[in-house]
Amino acid sequence: MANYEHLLVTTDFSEQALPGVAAARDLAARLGSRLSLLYVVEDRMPPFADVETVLPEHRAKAAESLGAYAAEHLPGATTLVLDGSPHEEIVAAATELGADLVVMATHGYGHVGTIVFGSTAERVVHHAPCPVLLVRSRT
Amino acid sequence: MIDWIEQFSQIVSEAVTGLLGPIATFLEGYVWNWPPQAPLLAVVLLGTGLYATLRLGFIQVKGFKHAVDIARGVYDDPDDEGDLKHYQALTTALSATVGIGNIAGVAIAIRMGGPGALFWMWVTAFFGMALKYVECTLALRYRTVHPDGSVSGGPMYYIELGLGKKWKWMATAFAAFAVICSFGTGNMNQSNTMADAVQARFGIEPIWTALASAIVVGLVIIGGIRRIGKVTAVLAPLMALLYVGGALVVLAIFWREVPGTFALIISEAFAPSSMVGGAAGSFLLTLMWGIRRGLFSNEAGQGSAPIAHATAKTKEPVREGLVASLGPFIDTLVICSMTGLVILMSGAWRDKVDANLGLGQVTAVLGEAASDGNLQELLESSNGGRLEVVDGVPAAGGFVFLGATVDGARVVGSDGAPWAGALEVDADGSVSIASGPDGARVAGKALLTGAPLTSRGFSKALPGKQGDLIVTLAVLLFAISTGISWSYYGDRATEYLFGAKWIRYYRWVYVTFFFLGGILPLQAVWTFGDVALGLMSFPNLLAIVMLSGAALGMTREYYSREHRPFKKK
Repeated sequence: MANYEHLLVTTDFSEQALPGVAAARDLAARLGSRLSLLYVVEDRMPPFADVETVLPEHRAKAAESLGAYAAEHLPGATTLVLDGSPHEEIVAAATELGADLVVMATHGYGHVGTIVFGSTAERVVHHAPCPVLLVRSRT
Repeated sequence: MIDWIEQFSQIVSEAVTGLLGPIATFLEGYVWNWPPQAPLLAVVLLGTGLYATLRLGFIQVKGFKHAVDIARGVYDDPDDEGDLKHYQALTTALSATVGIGNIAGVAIAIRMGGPGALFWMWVTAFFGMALKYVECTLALRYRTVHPDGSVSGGPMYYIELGLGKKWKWMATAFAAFAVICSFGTGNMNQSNTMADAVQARFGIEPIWTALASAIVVGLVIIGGIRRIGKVTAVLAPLMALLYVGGALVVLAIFWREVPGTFALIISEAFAPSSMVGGAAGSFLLTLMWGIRRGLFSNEAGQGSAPIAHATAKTKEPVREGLVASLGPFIDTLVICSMTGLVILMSGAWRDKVDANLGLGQVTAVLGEAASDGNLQELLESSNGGRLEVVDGVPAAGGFVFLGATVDGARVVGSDGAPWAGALEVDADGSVSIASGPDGARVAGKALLTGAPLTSRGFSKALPGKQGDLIVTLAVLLFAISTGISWSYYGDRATEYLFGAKWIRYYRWVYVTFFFLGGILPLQAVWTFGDVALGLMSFPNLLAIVMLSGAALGMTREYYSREHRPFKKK
């Protein structure tokens, strides 16, 4: 069996992401793996916002929120905040960190959009440099 | 490639007008014209505006100076949550608001409703200032702050968070109408008028303008090239200044007519006389066209601007509400008034100019020689029939466009040569070819409407015959900046409805519609936009009334404290 030394866990702070985080916590406890927790900042800014000042603010605020989130749900994890398209950033982070396994929750419901365009989780599975563990959210 | 695009747009154009046209016209009857004696939307919109104005003690007048100070940044605290400074939030909301409505919309209101329509546009703006105050104060109060500090707000949030979970259906309805509306007023209406105006001024085929502008909008909203967005954000206000400046020059040239023109606007507002074209002496038509184009222009009560204002960097909802209340003032009381005054003072609204119209655009009256004087009678007594055309000259009767006769009307072929044959005229005046070659058109002198009417006003009144260039440039910039800003409203509504993942697909559809708007026929596009705009206003106005107590509480609390300009500690 492969040695999952370094787990990359993703969250969007939503309820649905929690099962993925919990699975990663259990797995790491059993295997003694290192944990990295990633959040990708989504671009919600109005079109005429000052990206140069607003984006760093969002990143800093997100890092703060993620730190608190990690302390509560994934103690001991190193936190990481990126911005851009979620699936691309997750794949890039996995590559960069040399992660052995990506752990993420999949929302799992049959949204028309998901059927037509695919989910973030699906895209990560197709492009990740390592195995991906998808945990289905119950909600 | 070009053939392919043209064929594609032809197919879509036919499908959309065939499908959308009848639906839009049908809904228009309910949204804007039902019940006929006192259309519900007008009553609700003016009623809510009046209610908000009275309940908040004329906040739009009382808070005006403070609002200007806040917008100037006197109270800005950089550590507050939010994405935009007060003035940036105002310019974003304004760039969405100041668009074709300020140029073409006013011209349409005057054409269809007479000069008095301008007065009713002012009325919607005055009460609209109070509506904007309430909706934007609420948007700030009930916004959602995300873990990264970014914010989401707008009517869907204040309905859900302010009125409670059991109103979520109304929040959802609002968001759904907002998405639909974002394809209409902020999008297709803009590119449609722009492509039209550029063709009229520079002779460029609409398809190229539509394509180029859709690419620009796409680069900003899909490509994330915000630099273009920033350039637009700087250029659009400058253009607005240039536009108002040009209009002020016209006012200076025609200063003797200023009092008379105001008198005309006011007297025509209450007792419209049977003037050239459009509303032939109907108070209700004048009122409705004023309200309709007023709402289209300043969006007060529609619930769009709160989405932009919700992102303001402030802890004080009342402050952003006050800043927002300046929107209808700038948009309608200043910019729309300028357009209206130029159209009226220059006399352009009475002018008939060379036109070449499709048979679908005109109606016909049969019988004795038709003139604007006897038009009403002829229209009422018309039973339709056959109109013989010999060597381009119609035997007896005439053609009507925008409620006035086409002077010196000749029927021509698509090559411009005199046409011969017979036309079938239905009882409602619609014209089709009974016998003779395809492609017949009507040439003659006819009234103008929309952006061309405004253009004529400026070119007639300003020295040098190049005055219409201001209008064309303004149309171009306003349309693009409005297109960019409105995509944000649709974005937020899409996220609310379906989640963030859908946004990118929404944006692709949005840009496609921006392109299509440029090549679809005008009428269907405007009707569609008006319907969507009316539909999103209802849930928002209801929420404004239900939450006005909360807004009043916040206002009293805010004014009970002393406010000092922000100083860095």
